[in-house]
Amino acid sequence: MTYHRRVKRLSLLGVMCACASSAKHEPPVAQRAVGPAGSPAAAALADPTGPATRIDARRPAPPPAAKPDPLLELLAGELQRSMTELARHGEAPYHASYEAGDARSVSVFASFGAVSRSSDVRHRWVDIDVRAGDHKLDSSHRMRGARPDRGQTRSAALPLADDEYAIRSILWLQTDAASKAAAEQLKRVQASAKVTVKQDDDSDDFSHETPAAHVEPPAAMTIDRGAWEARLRPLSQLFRGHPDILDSSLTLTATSETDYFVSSEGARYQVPFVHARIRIQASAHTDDGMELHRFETFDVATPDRLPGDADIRARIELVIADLDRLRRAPIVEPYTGPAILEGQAAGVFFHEVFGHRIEGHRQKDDNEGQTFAKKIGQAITASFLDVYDDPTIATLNGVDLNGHYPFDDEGVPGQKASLIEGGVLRTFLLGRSPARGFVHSNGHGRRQEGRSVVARQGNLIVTAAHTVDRATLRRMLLDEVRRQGKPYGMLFKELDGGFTMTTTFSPQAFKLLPVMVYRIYPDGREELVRGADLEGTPLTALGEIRAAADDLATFNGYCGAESGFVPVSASAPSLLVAHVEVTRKAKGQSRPPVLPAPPPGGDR
Amino acid sequence: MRLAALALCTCALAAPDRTAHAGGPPPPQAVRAMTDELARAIDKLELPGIAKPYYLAYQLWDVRIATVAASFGALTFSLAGPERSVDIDLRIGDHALDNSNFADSFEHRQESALGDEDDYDAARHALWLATDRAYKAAGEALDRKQAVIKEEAKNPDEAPSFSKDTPVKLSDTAPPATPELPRLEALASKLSGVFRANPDVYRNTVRVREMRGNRYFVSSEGGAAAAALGEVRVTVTCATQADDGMPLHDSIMFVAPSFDQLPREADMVAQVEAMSRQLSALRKAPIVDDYAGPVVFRGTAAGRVVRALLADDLAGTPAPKGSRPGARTAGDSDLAGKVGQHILPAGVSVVDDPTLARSAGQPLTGHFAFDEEGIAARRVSLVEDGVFKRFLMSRTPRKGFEHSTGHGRSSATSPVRAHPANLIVSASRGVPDRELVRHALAAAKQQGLAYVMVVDRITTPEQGDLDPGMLSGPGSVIGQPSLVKRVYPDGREELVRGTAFAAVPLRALKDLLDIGNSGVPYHYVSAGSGRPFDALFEPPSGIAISIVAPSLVFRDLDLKKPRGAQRKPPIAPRPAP
Repeated sequence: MTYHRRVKRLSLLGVMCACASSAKHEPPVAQRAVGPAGSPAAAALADPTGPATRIDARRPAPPPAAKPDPLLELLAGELQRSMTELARHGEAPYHASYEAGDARSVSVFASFGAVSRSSDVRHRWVDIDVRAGDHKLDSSHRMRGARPDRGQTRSAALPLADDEYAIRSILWLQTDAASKAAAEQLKRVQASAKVTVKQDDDSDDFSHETPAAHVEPPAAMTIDRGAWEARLRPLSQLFRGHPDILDSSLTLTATSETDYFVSSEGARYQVPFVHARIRIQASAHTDDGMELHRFETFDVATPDRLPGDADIRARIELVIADLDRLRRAPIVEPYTGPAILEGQAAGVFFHEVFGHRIEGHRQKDDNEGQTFAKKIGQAITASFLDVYDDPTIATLNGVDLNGHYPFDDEGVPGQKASLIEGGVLRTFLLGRSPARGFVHSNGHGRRQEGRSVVARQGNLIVTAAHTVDRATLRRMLLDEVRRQGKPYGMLFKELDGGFTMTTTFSPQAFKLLPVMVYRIYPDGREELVRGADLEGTPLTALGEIRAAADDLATFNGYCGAESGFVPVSASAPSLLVAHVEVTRKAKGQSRPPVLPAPPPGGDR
Repeated sequence: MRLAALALCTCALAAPDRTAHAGGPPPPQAVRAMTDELARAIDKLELPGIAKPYYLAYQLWDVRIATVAASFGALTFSLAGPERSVDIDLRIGDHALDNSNFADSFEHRQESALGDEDDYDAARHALWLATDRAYKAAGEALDRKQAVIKEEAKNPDEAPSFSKDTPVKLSDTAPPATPELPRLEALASKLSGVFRANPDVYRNTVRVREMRGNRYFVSSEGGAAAAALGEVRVTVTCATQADDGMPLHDSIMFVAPSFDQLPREADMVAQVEAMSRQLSALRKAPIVDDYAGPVVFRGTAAGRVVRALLADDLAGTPAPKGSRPGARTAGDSDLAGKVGQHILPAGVSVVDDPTLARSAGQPLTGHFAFDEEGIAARRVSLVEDGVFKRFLMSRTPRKGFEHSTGHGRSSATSPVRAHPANLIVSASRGVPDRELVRHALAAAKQQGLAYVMVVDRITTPEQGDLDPGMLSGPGSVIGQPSLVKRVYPDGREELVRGTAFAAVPLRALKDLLDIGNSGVPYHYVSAGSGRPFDALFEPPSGIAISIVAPSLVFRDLDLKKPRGAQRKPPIAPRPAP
């Protein structure tokens, strides 16, 4: 069977598939717009016939009924008292909410065979949000030209015990300060509205939602810190005897947190959150001054699902081997041409290129680039792709997802948001800040403790309606290499992460930070290179996706933006992209250490 | 030569039992790692174009710290654990000119965090990398410093970079001990629980911090010293708002070298209760009137004034050389050029004595046997009979002060410079407080005033209440008096609120009307950043300093009543207990 014949067959079936699933869709914009991609060969590549991406999504069973913790009752009581008293003095805000957390964080950090840090810390806090004005225009309104800030949320530490007087005293003063600040801010917002031109999107500032009431048992976690110290100590020693590895560490973090939410609308929830992670990281230095970093993580929903020593050891050995190979690898040459983004890299690609740009608040903020603000109903990527964000999924194809939550930080249940259907943009990620055409939250208002909520990703999932196997995807890459007359194609396996700029002032670009990058030559040879960055602009990049493999991989991580760091995941099949732009990382100037690593046990 | 010196230092540390202070615990593995890496680095660290280091010193802080906080009797924070880090002083060039005390000295503060567990290989690995960074940074700094100097005209006041002083050899360590968290928690809860009884108190925090451990110093000059560290610090703050909206707060502190040496719990409770009552009284107290006349500073307020007006200026480390030719960074002493001149009234003397652990039975926090450059601490006479005699020095000399006095100290944000430790002010003709107030009243009467102002406590303003006006203007920021009274000729004392001082110049000290005959210690922690900001922020840790000053009577100070609107008091009433 030759490659060409197979492509032909795939293309025939593919056309049928595409028609059946998305007859009403317009063809993807970018495929029309970009020259080489519009050629018949490229069209053929876009129509494989394999099965749709396999999705086995597990959602947690409904929790047993539970009694509210004293803290939830206390929060509700003091919120009601404060609102009543403020109203009595004619100073009531139209909306107020308390979100409190009670967290236990266990961490063990080991390096070079010794435990560097080990702690078990309990922490309790409250974030207070008060809104003055009304749903249409309120104190949260982002003023034209205003810098993004942490918002008007007030945060305070709470006593570790349910001491009513101590807790109420804190809530009382903080609520008072927050309502005064909101009233002042509202005046500024109203003054600004008078002197600036009408905003392009004049959606309300705060959506109307049905208040949720939901009480689950508090979080519980069993973890033996001493046992983990004993396990991580020898494992972290595996890095010894590799003199080229400068820094290395092995970290266990396990968090058990109960979140409490009450609002003046009557919303009330109490939900547990447990998460555990092992992170392996190491760095090395090349003779020409480049610093190389490599990390691997295991993210799981509970500590008992953490991997065994053999799995951790294997991953450490992989990190050591990768760093060793990277040290000896040639530096990448600037490149444009076709590439395969393997699962995790493809997930991060969608997270940066797409996910951050469809956060609802960006669509109406005139300080933002609004890449997709007016593209609802339009095709923005290949017609075989669906993209959704679904925080209700706890486990996907056996992998625990970091972005699972039952309620967002505005008291709205986490919901599936079908962002792209058949290549066409359908909706945005929405918190309670509405955007043109969307008046309700889809449960994506999120924040880190102490920040103000904005719309964020949870579990971003990319699926393909039809796929090819991985070997075929690679053959398609080489076919594209030949067609474009390139000496080689690129393969991105591991990414550290990436970033994107969304404000009007900055270029609307993204940059991904790949670590394991290979050149794939027409003869099938793979060559590892180092120092590659992957850059581009979102509309073009999404339009260049040609095919998806029949795999799916998940990147679990923490994503930082205006509202702080929140746990997220991004899952995607391996993707063939017709054009990527690879640039060379800025070269470090620092020399490797002057002296060799000290001998174990000392000189004497 | 260097290797011979090193061998000595290894001995001293590896076998502390054989030193003068027998019976100490064996040194941690990290000290062996320091000694070994120091020997290797001083011998082998060399890059083309960068000379080998001529001096290298490591200082290990091997301590355990516990911090707890409570509010209204409820615990809000509790954490204990080891904190181990090594400060690195690596110098290239020579004593006359090296990489130190240059504009970017903050960037060039070199340190390395060590892990909780004492492990030779892990410590050695960390030291290897940190020393490598320090060496490269030193090379870059010296190049830049030399480039600046080349473009400068000859400066007659230029001093060498590093003094020739002999480091100390001693070992006086204590067995590793962990602060007992439960008793710290109980104390914080107990003291903050006092405020439950007083609904006038809107906010309060009791923070208890205990540190125990050892400090180890080794240097390529053969320095090898080790000493035990121990400190417990209890800080109690409370705050409220008067009905007219004026923010009010107060704060007291208890210190001791160990938990058992704190004042009796009942005594601490009584003091906190007194402060709580004072805060209630302050809410009802009249607002101060504008005043110009004699002002008496009693109790800890006297030490606070000495801190603001004098303490930083007694340190003689010259300001770092600026990054452009001719430029000097801020930070040189206002006492520069005043040696031999009167800066205080005749009969007044000032000494700094880190060798003192107590003053009149009260613990002092600036007690140490050797400084952070391994130099033996000693008593230094700074002001004699009102005449300024000499500066406190680190090993960074200034013209006329070529040697260290053993006062080199650092904080997390500031490299080693000279700082006071235990500053003691005394007067040969001091008078008791009663008499002092009488003198002040007499002077006030002459100026046509019906009363005299007496300040009993000054605290650091809370962040939200910081008046930016305090940072502008010449002179020193005294802080925010929390306990100020009008004292009338009939002996009546009337509490007032809202006092702020106009900036006070150093020369006001020369003209003191009167001085007391005994003082209570005032304790503070300095970030080491120098004025004016130092007095406005209390860092959680830093350079511990105690000042013992008798009551001071200034002849003529301006006190201002507050101007402008206050924030509204809380709208909803306080939750009921």
